[in-house]
Amino acid sequence: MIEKQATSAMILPDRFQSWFAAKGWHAHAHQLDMVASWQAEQSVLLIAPTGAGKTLSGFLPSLIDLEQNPCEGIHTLYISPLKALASDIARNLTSPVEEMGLPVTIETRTGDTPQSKRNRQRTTPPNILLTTPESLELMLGWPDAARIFGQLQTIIIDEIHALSGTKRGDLLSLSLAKMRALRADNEAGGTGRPLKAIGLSATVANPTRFAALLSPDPNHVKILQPVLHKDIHVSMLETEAELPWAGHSAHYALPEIYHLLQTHNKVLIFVNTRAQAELLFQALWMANDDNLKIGLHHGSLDVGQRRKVESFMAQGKLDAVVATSSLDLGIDWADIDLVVQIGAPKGVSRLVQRIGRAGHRLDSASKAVLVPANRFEVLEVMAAMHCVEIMQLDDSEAHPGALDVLAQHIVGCAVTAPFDADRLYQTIITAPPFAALTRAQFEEVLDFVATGGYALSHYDQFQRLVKGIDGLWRITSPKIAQRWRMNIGTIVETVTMKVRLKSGPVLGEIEEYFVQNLISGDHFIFAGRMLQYVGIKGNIVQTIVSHAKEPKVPAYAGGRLPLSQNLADTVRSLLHDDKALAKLPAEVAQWLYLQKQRSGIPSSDKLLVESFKRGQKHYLVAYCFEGRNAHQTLGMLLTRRMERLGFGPLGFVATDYAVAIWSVHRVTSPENLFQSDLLGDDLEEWMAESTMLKRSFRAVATIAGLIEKRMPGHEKTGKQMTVNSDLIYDVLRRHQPSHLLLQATEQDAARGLTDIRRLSEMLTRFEDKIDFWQLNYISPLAVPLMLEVGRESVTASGVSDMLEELETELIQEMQGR
Amino acid sequence: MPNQPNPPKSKDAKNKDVTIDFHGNQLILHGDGTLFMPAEGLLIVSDLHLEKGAALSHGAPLPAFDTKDTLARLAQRIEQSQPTKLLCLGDSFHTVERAFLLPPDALASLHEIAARTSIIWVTGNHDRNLPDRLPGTACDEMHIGNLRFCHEADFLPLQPTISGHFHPKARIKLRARALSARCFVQNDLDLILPAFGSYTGGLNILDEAFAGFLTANPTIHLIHDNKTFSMPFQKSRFFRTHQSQKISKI
Repeated sequence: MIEKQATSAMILPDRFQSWFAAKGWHAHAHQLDMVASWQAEQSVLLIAPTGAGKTLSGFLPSLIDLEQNPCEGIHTLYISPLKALASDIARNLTSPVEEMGLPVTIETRTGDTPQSKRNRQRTTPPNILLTTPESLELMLGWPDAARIFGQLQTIIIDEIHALSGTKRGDLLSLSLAKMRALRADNEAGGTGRPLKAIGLSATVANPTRFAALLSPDPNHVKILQPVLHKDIHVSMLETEAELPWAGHSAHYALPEIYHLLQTHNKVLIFVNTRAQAELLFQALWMANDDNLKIGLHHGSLDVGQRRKVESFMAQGKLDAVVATSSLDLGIDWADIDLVVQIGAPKGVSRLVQRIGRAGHRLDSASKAVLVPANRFEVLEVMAAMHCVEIMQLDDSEAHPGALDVLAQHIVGCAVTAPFDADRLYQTIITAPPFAALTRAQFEEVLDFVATGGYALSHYDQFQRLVKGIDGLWRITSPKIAQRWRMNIGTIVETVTMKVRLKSGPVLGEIEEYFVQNLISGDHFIFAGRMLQYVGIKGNIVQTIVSHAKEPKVPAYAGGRLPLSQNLADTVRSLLHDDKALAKLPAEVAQWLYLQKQRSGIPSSDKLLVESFKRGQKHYLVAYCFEGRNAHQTLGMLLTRRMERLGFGPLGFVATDYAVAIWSVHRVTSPENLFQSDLLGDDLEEWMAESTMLKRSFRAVATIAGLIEKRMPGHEKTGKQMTVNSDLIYDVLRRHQPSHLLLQATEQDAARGLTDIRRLSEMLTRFEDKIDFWQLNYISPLAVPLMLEVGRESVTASGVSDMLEELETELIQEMQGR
Repeated sequence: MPNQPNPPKSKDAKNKDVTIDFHGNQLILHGDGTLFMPAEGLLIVSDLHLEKGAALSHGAPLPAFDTKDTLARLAQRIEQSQPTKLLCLGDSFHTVERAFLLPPDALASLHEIAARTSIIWVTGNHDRNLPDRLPGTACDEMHIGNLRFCHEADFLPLQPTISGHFHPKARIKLRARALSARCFVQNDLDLILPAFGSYTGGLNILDEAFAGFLTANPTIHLIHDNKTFSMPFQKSRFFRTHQSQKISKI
């Protein structure tokens, strides 16, 4: 803490004071604190909600320093997770610089920057360079990086909460470690002043973790968390309609949602998946008697279309936008007076961030309405409102740094200059995610980078790096450097195909695997239009406008976020909190009451498991509340075990709240199933054939540089890469299951897709603590799950049975002719 | 253990083969993609593409376990079928260059196989000239009885032909998911084998390259999980991915 409140007169030079005065503004206290800390050579993490003038706070110290000590070369590097944000900030920063007449040059550099400008930036860099983590890593690969960054005083990392804990965050912290090492080597040519990092973050549960990203010595980072009074009004939508048992579309509440649009000025409607966005957008247009201007924004839409919606929004030309997480971050829009969240929020931090998009100024309140899509979601919405009220945010867990990212970075280090392995290791462990990396692990990654790290003899002719007689590691050919540059980054896109309206424009991109399930004549909604699938030409999905009523909706991969642990815990405790229960809508209260009469209520210390019979099948339902990824994995593992034990499992369904499995025979003692050894051999076996793991492996192998993203001249299509990497995965698992890339794949799986960590904690927690109910009928809580059963997941071993079925069917069909 | 009786599952064998009569010849279509002709003690395999991993390791070293893996699976089949002759229907090596650079352990495995059965190499478009240190004999094509064996079939063969080259695979829709698997393609005069190599990709049977073969009672024999599943080819049952590898790249 600063002992004495700094005043603007003490801190701001005249030019700045008169500029603030001319604007009729005065500097926020935290903005002055930022300047004071910077002048005391200290790194700062500023945590503030949107609208707190965060961006100006970040740049103010640099602008002041540049005013007083004009210099050439890069003084400040700004890093943003979004390209669009970098350009937006550049525009916003240019006005004060011009208005004050400061001797400061500002430029952006991203993947979109033209080559000529990039070349010039290398010879005459601007004072302030705005860029992305990938471009930074690329620039650090320049042999003259040490010279170019020799003058660097400040690194500003925006939206740091969106980077920390991700592979991009891992790459960024490696880049920062490399930058510090470069500067240390180049001290003579530099300014002699330490490099200061400034992190800008939305409200987070655990600021110290982000501070670690900013400096090798987190104690040296000052955390500024100004108390800013920004009122948040959150409510659950009140509706006359009956709350649905299942589903995710919130269609029942459409009249009320539309009414919200009519009664507010500018509304931002968030949904959780792109499919929901499409459906809701379509439905709102049908209801749009007032000709409100409604836009659609999600990650699959054509970039041009997205930019158009964004600029219309900024110009105040739209009344409402239906959006997915594609609008969670970024560009400031004034005047949004309401945020609507459709469907359960899944996490508290994300919800707070979304709510913050309304009343995007400090003096105005944020107003949000939450719309649960079904009964379970009512509970989740209640829990989320409670968490927002007491600001109990999700604490993201710390992950060890990803090994595939490290492999990519090591190639980059060799591209910059030949390196000494000891020194490189010492640098890498200063990057917080890699602080615990052992020397042996490092050697393994280095070996992978150099030779592939395979247990194969006679395989030294394909090295990427070699150790020279001087003891330094270097790349074997310039091609390695070129390939590294082309493949930099950690974002491996899912394979998508362009969707084109016949003799019309490209509407956007759709996941390939959805297209595979389309048959000519199928209808689907995309980019807000009803389309009919015609066929595929080249790499483009051809469509015509359709007038069908019943669409098949794009099932976008990766669009679904699992329920956060924080929220799940809150839901469970809410179920035992009479005061909270009293506030529930009558139907939901009734539903829970019936459940209590007939079966148990999920609790924090016991796992509720039910079994009952419907039709010819026996159902087993476990209410674990660990999110759908963990439940999906659990479903896979349980069906395998049930198969071995002879229960004849037929399928399962997983939601955020529970998993239900149906089988030929009844399970009478679930204790035998829910054991932590589930994660042993069965998991191994499942991993070997899981498509999810294969996808994950493809990403890992791409990041680690084993397979290519793109090469100039011959663009490799995503599909060919998939085939290839699937085969590699199978063979590698059979011959070297301990290979680094398989380790990294499992690390990834544990971290996201399969949520093995949550699953294993759950199994341990509930071992022998099962609240088992054998029921004659389906329980009220299980009803929503049964309604999901249509989208069944079939166990892997079922494929052969299905093939046999198909074989018989076709042969009979043929004989009948 | 659950405390109720669990009836044993009827699902039997790990393998399920399909036996067909092809112009008076009994042929067994194995679930690993090999073909066995009991009357001749002849095992037929196609498109091994040995050393593909090494051949493609330009920018980065790929795990070149594929040769070892392919030969191990082949040895396993030989152990089970006990053939007197092994016919490799071409493209046995990904590139001729790599055939000459074959690592010693792979060469040793080939000699072990040759010690148990005589190898006949039909040469394909990837391996016209094979090094002479390989065991076995080489030929452009082979005839047994009324059957012709070659690397690449013509559209209108004059006699029943068994071939490889195209790496057929098929994608079908099962209840809740799609399955893509290698397959044999059969019609009145042709039988095309799937690729056997561990790193060999496939060409969807809906690619135009197969158009000429999907006539005259076409049948698809899918292989999945070491089992063979036969079904008449009906266009509506099969799907293609948007991107098929061009045959020249296989």
